[in-house]
Amino acid sequence: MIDVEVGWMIVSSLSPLLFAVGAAGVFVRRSSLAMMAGILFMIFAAVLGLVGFDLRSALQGDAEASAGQALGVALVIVVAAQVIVAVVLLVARVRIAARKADASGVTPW
Amino acid sequence: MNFGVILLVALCIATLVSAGFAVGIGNGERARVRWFLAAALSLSAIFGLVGATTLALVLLLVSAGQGLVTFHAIAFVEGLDEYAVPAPDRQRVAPSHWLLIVLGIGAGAYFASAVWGAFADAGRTQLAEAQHALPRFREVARVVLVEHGFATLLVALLLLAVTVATGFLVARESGAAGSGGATGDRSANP
Repeated sequence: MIDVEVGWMIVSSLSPLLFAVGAAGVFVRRSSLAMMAGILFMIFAAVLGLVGFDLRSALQGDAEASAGQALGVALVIVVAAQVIVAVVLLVARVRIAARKADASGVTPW
Repeated sequence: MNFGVILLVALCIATLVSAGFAVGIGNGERARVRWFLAAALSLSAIFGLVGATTLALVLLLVSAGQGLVTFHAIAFVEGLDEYAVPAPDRQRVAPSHWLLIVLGIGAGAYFASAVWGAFADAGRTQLAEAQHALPRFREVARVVLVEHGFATLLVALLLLAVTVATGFLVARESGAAGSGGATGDRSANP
């Protein structure tokens, strides 16, 4: 296992960078899948932040040091449910667009 | 600087590069899914390296499920026969096909919860006291399952409700698309 202080430093620096990449994807890209991936990366950055603060708490000897990881686990499960719904809606939208585009010959995907 | 720190830095770089390709430079939708999976796996390895073993395991399972669903959805939309059902029966078989996928993921989540609960239960025995390889696994499981039990129950109920609602939604959507598409084909080619 990595030293707690080094792990805290690296994870806390990765978290804002990953959030920036995700935010850039959401605001710049027009593809639905790329925007969804961007949102997921922003959420994963938040989970990384939770783990980073968890490590920081462990470094300070806090007895509740695992609360950040517990919240991260719950967040990841909620994200999984969110992605299932998002993918289904995405597929439904594309299939409807495909039916409408049959007559015009435009590729919807 | 030891080997673990070098590995952690390399994984951080791999995560950022994969994330950049997934949201920006990826070539095609399925390539984006591959890059997203690479980033998620790198993140899972990072969590494991810094000691968040429970989170690493959960993220690994969840990202695998997400990749399966997303990749299959794209392949289904693109009409690739190796991932979807055979073309002549696609519209008819699709609802049950999708339901199986969604229910399979739900079953996988419950299986993961059972394994997780078994670890937490084993943590109260003397045998698990010797598991020094996963020093914080039991602690995290205890916090989630015992101290945050109500929140865990809410999340589980949310996941169950979303899974069931998604199954109904997909079945209704696929059924409507199948009948509508067939009608459209007949009207277009009388």
